[in-house]
Amino acid sequence: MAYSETLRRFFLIAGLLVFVWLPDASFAADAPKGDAADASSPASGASADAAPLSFDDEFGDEFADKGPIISDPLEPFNRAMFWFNDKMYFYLMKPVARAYRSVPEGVRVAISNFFTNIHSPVRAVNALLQLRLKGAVQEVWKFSVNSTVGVLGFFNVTKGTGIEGADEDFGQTLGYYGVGQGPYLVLPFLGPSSVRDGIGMVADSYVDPIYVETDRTTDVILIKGAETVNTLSLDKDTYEGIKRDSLDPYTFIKNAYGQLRENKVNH
Amino acid sequence: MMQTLTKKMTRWPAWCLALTLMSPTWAYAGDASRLLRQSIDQVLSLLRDKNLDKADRREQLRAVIEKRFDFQVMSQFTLSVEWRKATPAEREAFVQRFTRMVEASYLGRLEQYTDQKVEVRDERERDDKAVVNTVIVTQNVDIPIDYKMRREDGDWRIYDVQIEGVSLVRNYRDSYRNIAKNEGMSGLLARMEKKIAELEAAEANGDKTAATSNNN
Repeated sequence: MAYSETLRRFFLIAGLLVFVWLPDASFAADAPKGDAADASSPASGASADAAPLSFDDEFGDEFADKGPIISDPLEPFNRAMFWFNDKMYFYLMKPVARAYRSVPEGVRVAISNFFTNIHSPVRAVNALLQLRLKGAVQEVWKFSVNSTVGVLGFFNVTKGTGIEGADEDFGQTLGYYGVGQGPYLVLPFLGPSSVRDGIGMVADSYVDPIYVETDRTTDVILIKGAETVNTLSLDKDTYEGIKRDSLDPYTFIKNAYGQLRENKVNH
Repeated sequence: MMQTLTKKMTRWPAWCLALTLMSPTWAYAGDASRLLRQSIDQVLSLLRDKNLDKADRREQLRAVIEKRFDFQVMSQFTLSVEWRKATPAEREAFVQRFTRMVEASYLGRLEQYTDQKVEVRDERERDDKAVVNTVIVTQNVDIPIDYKMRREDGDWRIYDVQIEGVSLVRNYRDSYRNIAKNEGMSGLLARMEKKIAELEAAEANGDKTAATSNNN
């Protein structure tokens, strides 16, 4: 289509401009390489004879001893916040979400689509910052189509068209330019994060329409709360499952968060 | 290039047939994902089967899972350094408890999605290793689950599961090794035993959230 062609060209030019404006952009290419070298060097020793397997890259040293995936110097604080969030979850959010499940699932899925769609600018901007032009273009395309044809994003009409979009945020953008996760950080209400991703969240709020279009802090909290309750109502008790299954839920979630974020940066 | 090749192949079905028959890799191509698909289908149909009584179902599920998962290797990777320090008896006890716990959490997860579709999307094989990408397709999100498998005696078995890029083994490792380091293997085994008792109690009650209400 001519329309998408124009968009594509626009973003190509915009992307090139960003590239020119960022004299340091070239170091982005080095960052992942540095990481990989880091990870592979201390790898072999410790687990060598525990592991009858050895092979490289994706089949590779995934079980080699790399130490903890995310550091946790703030553990006492984090554990306290974890405890607090746990109580909030079981005594406030979850009961509300459970009651809210009486709303038909289709409606809740539509609301979930709405929120996913409205965060699109965050994903588009960060894809662009990471020079992922295809992802940025796809996000803009999805946002345009779903906001119009999909009635304000309530219907995800681009689902199944093979247009994936970009799952990016500023924490990942920082990671892309070589910034490590930094210490693990459990935030009250918001849950697992890191120093890097916490900064990322603040930065993203300048692009997120929900923050930009809402003046009063109480309104932002209400909208965020509604989004969380809606998400929880569709969730299949993931948190309960983790608490049930693991010996140390705190460590389990910390590690999962670290892996998830690292994976998202390197994808 | 691949496309033109396939085009040519479809033009000459006989040639194609001859090629596949001659190819020594034919017998192995996609074996990992085929076997995985089989196991997933077996698990799902057992979970969906309303006529089975609980104990029967669980027993059959365990049989299917233990056939496809390599709990020995998983245990080894999970404990890594601690594995080497452990006595044979401790190792055996660990594998047995670890098996029970992974089964419980894997089944618990799948049970949530019995009404959803599981798609096997892609497989990459190299030598005796394979990564099989699957996706649980739900109404609002797709959950990618990758299985890492290795071949032993012509059979492919799972040695790690990655959910949205989060490796189960790597995850368990952090907590297990911490406990083993601080409380010794006996401490770890005791805690696992306690957890299994909790899981079994929750199973018996048929109440999945029961075990979670004892907040810590």
